[in-house]
Amino acid sequence: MSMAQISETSMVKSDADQSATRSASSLEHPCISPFLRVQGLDVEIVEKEAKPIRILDGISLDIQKGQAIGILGESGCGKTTLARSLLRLLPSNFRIARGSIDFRGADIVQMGSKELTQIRGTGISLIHQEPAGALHPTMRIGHQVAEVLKAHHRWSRKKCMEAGRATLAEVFREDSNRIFNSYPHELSGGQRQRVLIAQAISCRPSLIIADEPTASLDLTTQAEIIQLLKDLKQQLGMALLLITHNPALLPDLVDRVLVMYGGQVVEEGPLGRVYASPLHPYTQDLMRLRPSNAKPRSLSPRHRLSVIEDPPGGTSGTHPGCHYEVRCGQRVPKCSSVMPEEKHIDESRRVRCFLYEH
Amino acid sequence: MSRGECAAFFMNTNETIQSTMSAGVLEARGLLKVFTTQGPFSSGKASLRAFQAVDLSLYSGRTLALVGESGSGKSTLARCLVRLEEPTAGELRIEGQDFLALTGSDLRRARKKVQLIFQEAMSALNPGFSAAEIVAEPLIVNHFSRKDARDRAATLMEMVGLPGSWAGRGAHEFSGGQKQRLALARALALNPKILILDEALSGLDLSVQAQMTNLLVDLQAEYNLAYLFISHDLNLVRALSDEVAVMKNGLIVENATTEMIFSRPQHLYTQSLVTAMHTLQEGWTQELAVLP
Repeated sequence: MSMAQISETSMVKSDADQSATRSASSLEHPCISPFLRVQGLDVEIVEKEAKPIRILDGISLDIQKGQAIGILGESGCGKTTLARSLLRLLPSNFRIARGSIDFRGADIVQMGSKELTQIRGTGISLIHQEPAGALHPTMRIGHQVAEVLKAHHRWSRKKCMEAGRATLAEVFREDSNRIFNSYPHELSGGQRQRVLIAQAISCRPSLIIADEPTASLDLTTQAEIIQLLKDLKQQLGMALLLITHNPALLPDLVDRVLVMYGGQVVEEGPLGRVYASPLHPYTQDLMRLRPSNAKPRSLSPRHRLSVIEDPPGGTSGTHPGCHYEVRCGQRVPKCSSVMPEEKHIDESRRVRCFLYEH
Repeated sequence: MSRGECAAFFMNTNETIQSTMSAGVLEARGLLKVFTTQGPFSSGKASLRAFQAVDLSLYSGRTLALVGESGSGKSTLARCLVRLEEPTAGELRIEGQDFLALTGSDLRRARKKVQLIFQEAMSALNPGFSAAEIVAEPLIVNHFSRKDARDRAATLMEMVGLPGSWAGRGAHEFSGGQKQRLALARALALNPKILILDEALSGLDLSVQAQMTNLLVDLQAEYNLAYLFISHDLNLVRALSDEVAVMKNGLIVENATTEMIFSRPQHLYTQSLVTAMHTLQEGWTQELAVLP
């Protein structure tokens, strides 16, 4: 099948398009062209007879081949919605209002359901947040992994099962044969998470989106899952988009980090630089929460952890200005009336804040 | 450390713990819980030991953290301490009173002293109730007048940092952190002596966790509460607790001061926990650069 050839040629074409109308909003990498480029993505919830509620607002991001990117943000900031819009897996009352998602030269926003099925699993795959809810309770694990392969290949049942067994062996160092024949309820949370990872990598996608892969896991299991993702990224050369609210999970695993707040990307940059010298006031406040800043209770019984203060009226401001304004310690008068634009500090960092206007 | 030193060291820590053990507000000795199950098609019985030989002491104004992997029996223990589950054997005293022997109205009266807060705030709050009704419910059950209950509910909400004017809002209108505050207000309604926090801060954002931790520390100082803080987040444990009990496979394998657990963990499992915490934070713990 010449599917690969078609996508190759269309990629060349779109590269030419992109260099002609080079995006102002996402960061430019002159040497390598991104294989996933999101531009100006708006997602809304549409309710009957009510004004649509905007969940994502002008999201732009680029992912290069084999690159790992972290998305950091608190609950309700739109992280999960972003993950699901990249695969068009949004609930029926959500709508992509504006923007494009270019993946290997085709726009996911415009795709028909047949093309989408092709992309899901083989191009981009998603690891869901709740491993318990993502597995079928009465199907054996091996069957569930083989099912993913069956959906994308014209293979015999036997070949799919064998390939599934091999994929499971990649994520379980031992015991993969027992797990192949188990049911989900017989596995621990960490093992279920590994099964989801096996499903996600089974068709060798070029991008894996992991949505809070370690939420609800024990500390030791969390460390193991992060290590597994690290190993797989290196072995298989896949790009990774890791979504989390915990900044401690990202170092060593991702190269760049995007900080989201209120449905917008408020800061982007290489992880080391964002963590060492955050630009946006929200990122600065977030970094102040790092645990090494907290003193153990035995040393200071009434020590207070640093927090990001909530304003008395709630955090959902309705004014047209910056979403973080109500909690921000560095606000200026125009913050509440004008939305700051994204500003490129240098070739690798951008921020959305008036502090960096000039 | 040689074997002899090691033994001496253990005896010392045991002594220091023993010496403060005199007046625990909750004392559990040799608690055991066995679940017996009978399959629908089999005649034989299977039994599962959730935990055994658990000794715990909680003190007013102090926090004991209970850490351990999921499935190690932490939550079952929490439920046994308030007798949502009946322990199979052992002794449980609350303020010196034999809690396991109580029945009927005596049990209801004693239960006011110990309150439980769950991980999932949403499923612990009645979605059809307003905030005020949620907080006032335990008061009304305990024969407060409607007016007193309403007034006290407003005070309690202020106490946990929720505006009293939100009393009429439905439970679903609150964010995750606010729901947990609401659950806390309800738990405090009957002036308990002991709060059991079963993963109460898991699943919240970092900042919200820190806010709740600060609130818990303040409330403890003000009302001299004893906390049993069940968590797998060692950072929170370090910030909040005086002592740590480590549970594995239904056994408490290590029980020491928070400082000892973090600086010199003894049991292999505790060591792996502390290592996991450090590995996970490696790249995040260096100090902030000075901002321009």
